[in-house]
Amino acid sequence: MTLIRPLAYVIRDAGAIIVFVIVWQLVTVVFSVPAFLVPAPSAIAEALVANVGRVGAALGQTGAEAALGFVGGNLLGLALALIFARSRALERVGLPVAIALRSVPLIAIAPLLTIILGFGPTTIIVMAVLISFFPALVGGASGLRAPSAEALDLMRVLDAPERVRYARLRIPAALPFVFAAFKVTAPASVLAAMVAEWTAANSGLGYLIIDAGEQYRFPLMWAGIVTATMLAVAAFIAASVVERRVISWPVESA
Amino acid sequence: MRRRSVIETAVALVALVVVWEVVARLVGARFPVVPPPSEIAAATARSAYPIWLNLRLTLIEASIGLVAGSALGLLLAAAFVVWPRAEASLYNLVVTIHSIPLVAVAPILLIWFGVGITAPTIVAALACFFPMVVSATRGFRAASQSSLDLMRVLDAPSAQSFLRVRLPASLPFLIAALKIAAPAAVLGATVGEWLGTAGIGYLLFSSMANFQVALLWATMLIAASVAAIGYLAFAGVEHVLVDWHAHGSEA
Repeated sequence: MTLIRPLAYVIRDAGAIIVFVIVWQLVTVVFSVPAFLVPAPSAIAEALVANVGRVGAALGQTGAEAALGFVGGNLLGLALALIFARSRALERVGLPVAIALRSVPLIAIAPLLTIILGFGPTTIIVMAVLISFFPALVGGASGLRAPSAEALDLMRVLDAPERVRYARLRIPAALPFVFAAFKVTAPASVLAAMVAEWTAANSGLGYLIIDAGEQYRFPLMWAGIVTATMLAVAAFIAASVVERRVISWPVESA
Repeated sequence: MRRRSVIETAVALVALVVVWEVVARLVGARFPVVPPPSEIAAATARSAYPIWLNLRLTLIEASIGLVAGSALGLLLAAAFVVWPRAEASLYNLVVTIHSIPLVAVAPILLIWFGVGITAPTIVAALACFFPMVVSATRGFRAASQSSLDLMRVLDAPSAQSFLRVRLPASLPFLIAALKIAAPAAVLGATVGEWLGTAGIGYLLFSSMANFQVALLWATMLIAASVAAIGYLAFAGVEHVLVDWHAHGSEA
């Protein structure tokens, strides 16, 4: 019973995508749109099949870099959020800085990171770490503070040890905030890795797109773009699915 | 309370700059990629005019992108609220478009529009569009049901109930979206310029390629400051607005 509704949504969304691709194909063929504007989906698919090895390798590389950065950035961010929750003084100085940095265009520092860390995967992974770090820190710190004063008082009255207060109250309260951050940073890590590949690599999806464009291989360029988009969407969906698995209680969305 | 935290942050910043200067001077020879702040300041002063020319271009692109992207997002959100059926069919499309990485869009736009102001402006608009759609849709829905019912009982035209009830209720959400969109516009414009021939994004890329380390740092700090100013400006508006909201409504 519970499966039917999501299944219906999946079918509807898949249907919308298929219709979209068919219309795209028809428009490009009927109006003979030049490939440099928008190649036909069939041409993109052809380029994808012809270069499956190269696109696959690029996908694997970008996916691995983004995933490493995502995991590293979140571990660091959440660890620091726990420290902030213990020390009000640290939080008062650190949290405004973190909130400000969360909204600063970190991607703009890719050239700087490239000069500091050099040409190679380190720069790319660090870029993805930075993108994930600040939202995790801000989300974690605000989430750990989210329990109501009454709930915290109850824990105190019951003389619950610190460990229990965290396990039963603060961490469950923080989870919705943390997952909200995950849903933003999972696709953002892909974006960050791709930007860093412009400056610090000659492989990966970000580089593939630029390189194919510069060689006027537009179907290949679009094959890279479609692959990158699917990677980002998959990252978002994965975060949402895990969220639904983990948070089984009703949450008031902020 | 607020003033105190501002002072603390300022002190922390000054301390950071001083420590950075000292450390960079001590180990400078081994880490030429992290110049002391004084050198970055000198590079800024030396290249002030070219930096300003590039910055001006980026500011123009980011501003147009912010206004256009937010306006489009607002219109679409209004359409979603007025015609809920539009939301059912378009929302997933909006999410899909949003998940196309901006970095992947930039090269396409560059091919379509050529080198110039158009491509970065569109990237900036795209970066602002999505936060505005999501936030504004939520904001228009945040209007209290009793106020909406009252408008219906009074037989107010739906345009009026939109302007008088939904729009004011959504203001905090719109400001929150602008707080995200303003720095995002700067980022979008910068990424759009990356492959171009002018603007802060170009300056970042070219100073990296030419190993002009101090200029690269200067450009990066300026880009970050501009984005931060955009954020803080709307955070200030939000602060004023929340005060007004807290005093103005008894509900």
